[in-house]
Amino acid sequence: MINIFENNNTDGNSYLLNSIGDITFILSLISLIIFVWLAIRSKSIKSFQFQISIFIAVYILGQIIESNRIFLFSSLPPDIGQQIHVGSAIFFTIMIWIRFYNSEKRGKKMIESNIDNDNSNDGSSTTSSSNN
Amino acid sequence: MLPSQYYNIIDAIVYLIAVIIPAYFILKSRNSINNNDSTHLRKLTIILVGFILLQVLYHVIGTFGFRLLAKGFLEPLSMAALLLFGIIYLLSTLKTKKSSNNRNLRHDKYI
Repeated sequence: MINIFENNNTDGNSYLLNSIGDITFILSLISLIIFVWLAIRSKSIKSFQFQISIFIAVYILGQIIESNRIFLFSSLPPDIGQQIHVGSAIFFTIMIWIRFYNSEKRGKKMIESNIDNDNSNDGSSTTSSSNN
Repeated sequence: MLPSQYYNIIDAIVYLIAVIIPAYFILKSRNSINNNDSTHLRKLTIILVGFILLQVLYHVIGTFGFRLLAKGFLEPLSMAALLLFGIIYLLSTLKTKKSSNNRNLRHDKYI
């Protein structure tokens, strides 16, 4: 039986981790497709959809490099995948805080709807949270 | 301490900083008037908070070396939360678009 609290990696566990890694990759890829499609519809690089697409894309890149299964990336240092993950997390945090700062400053929403974007395609309608 | 553990700690801290904003909005929205739009946005924010907290948990568990629990369960779960966020966002966008089109059609009819 598999012990999920196990610390060391046996061959069976690493096979299982690879399989689950594939599932994680597929889930993140579907999320990326959805947000890229929404970002294309919003027609603005300042939109929340575009910025979250960048975050997911960087996250996926980190995941691919970390899994070390692509020959092209095998020459890279072993920690680079995790460093990219840290980079994507920092990007995500900065994005959320800047959107909050802008919404507080200008009194706008933090996450814009597509209707907002259709009405003002200049991207000036910033982000978030409704509840402001 | 291994470098991977350092990265996990940094990741957990960074995601914890990120979760402050959506958590603040959820708390703030509890007192606001409940209309359809704000309820929907609240739901979206809760899912986003779920994704971020799962990432925090994944990195904390990863720091302690429980690789199978972290990589095998929490990471796919957090990605599933992100996917759910994307699907609900997509559906709400399509719904808003559809209702806006219907409104325009009705308006044209009256004219």
